Amino acid sequence: MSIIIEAKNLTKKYGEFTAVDNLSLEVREGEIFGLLGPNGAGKTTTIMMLAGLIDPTSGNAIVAGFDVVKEPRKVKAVTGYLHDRFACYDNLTARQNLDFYAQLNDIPKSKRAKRIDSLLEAVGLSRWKDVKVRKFSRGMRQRLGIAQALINEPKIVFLDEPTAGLDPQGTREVRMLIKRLCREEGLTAVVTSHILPEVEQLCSRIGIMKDGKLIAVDTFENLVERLAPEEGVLIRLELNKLDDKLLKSIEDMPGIRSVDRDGNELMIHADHDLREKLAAAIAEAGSLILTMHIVQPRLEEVFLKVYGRGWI
Amino acid sequence: MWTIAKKEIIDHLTSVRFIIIFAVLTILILCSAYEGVQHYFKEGREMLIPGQSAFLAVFTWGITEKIAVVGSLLGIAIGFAAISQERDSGSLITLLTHPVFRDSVINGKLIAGACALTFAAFTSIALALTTVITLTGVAPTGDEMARLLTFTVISSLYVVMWLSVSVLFSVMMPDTTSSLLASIITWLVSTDLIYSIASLIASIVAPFGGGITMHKIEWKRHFEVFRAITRFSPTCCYRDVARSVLGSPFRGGLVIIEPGKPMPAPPSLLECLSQSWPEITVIVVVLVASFAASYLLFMRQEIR
Repeated sequence: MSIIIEAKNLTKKYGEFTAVDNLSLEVREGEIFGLLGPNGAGKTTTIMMLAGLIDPTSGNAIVAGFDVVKEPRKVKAVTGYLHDRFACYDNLTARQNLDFYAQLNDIPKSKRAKRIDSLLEAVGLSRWKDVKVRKFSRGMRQRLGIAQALINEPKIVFLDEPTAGLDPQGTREVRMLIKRLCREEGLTAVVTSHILPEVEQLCSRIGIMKDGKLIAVDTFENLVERLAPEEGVLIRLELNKLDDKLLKSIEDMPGIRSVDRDGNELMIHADHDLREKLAAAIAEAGSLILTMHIVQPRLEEVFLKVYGRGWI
Repeated sequence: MWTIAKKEIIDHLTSVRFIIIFAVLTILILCSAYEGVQHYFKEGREMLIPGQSAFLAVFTWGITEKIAVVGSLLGIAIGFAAISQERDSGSLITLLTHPVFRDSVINGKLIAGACALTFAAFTSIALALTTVITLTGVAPTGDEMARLLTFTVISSLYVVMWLSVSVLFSVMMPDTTSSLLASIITWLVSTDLIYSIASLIASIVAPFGGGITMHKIEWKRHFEVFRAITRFSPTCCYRDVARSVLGSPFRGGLVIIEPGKPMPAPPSLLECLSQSWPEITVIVVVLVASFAASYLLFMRQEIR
């Protein structure tokens, strides 16, 4: 797969504050790339620079073959953008809004109506196409925002927090819509989010941002794998009886980091999977295992730790 | 740019804000026209101001003032939210994510506003003219028509100047409310407070005794200072130009009539215009400077 976005040392400063710090990134054609990070990490600033909306203080990016600093209009002509606070004109209908954006993209009149109708159909707004946007719900506006981003049949679409402020059903609908549209239209998408499950479900690769820096880029599975050894393993154990001697022998076992006791239940934090050794020790002490399993590390906690630490 | 201008014109002409102020302006102008005509019937053709055509005097009667005060509000109503509202709502970013030049946005907005305001000025003055012709049964002469047309053009220029000033505030101010407030304060100073300010400064710089004992030269100097300060107000300038173009000899609000001498003959339209060039320049300079400033500011503003 060829590289469609190539950013080199992108930096954006607002006075003394560095919003994006020396960011380099490659996005492949056809993939859904996620930028994950807490609020204020620089995700929006990054995609605004990639979409030719703001000039970087230094560094550069080539997007779909165009230089974002020298040819921002050409970049805009081949990309679509959905802002996290997407708004259009409330006094116009969905169709009138899209028609206005189509005109800005120099789409000839003969093609406009067809394109608008098919987009409204795709985002499920056909029934409301002649209703003024002021009457739209948050979810409907967001779907209109997606349609507006696709009006010029872009090669790349930038979606900034596309499900922000939506209820769970709206979130699910928008997520599925993005996935389907990207597949059907053969789009490359860059999605920003601070919601982990969102990027997990939507994106083929993710970049993690913190304080304006891109601290990791990989597939979701690889990132989890890379994080797992450091995080260790949590083992939950329930015995028929538990005396102090057995507890002491477990605590003294090599590779055990900590043991929490609650009656006959234990929560053991170990460097790696020690279930066999534990079973042997328990049998030797004459106790019976009622349950024993590994508790999956909570991914959000893992990523929160990464954010806190700033490297991976 | 034309795409944006076209959309904006439709927005203006269908916006409640524009329609209400335009309706108020037109009604006030028609009332003034009616009032002027009543006066005309009472005083006869050679009424009001000696030396001025009675037909035009009907227009001087209130209509100028309505445009000076309410017309300027119409300009502000269109301009104060031009950029700030789109910035507040977020639609400005959406607009700029499409392949448009930034200057097209501000140019388109100003062109659309200017078209809507020129339309409003021409329509309301044309309605007033029709009213006057219908009520008096007198058709204007060629010179009177030329003067009325010039008056309409200058009135349009004046309201567009207010558009330009309020667009500047809409770019400069952080939100729409502050923008409106700044425009209204400027409007208040220009239409009204300027007289108090000018009078205060004039009495400090060039005091005069007052009453019947005042010295003519002292009075003249006081008045000159007063006038020099009011020239900073585009509204005062507009009032002067409008009066002059409509053939009123009371240019600048004061004519010193020498006892026993006849009233000076009213100057021709061209003479009026050449006499009024400083005032016309003030209006044009404010218009152009405000636009240039908003253009430069908007081009440099970071969007977020």
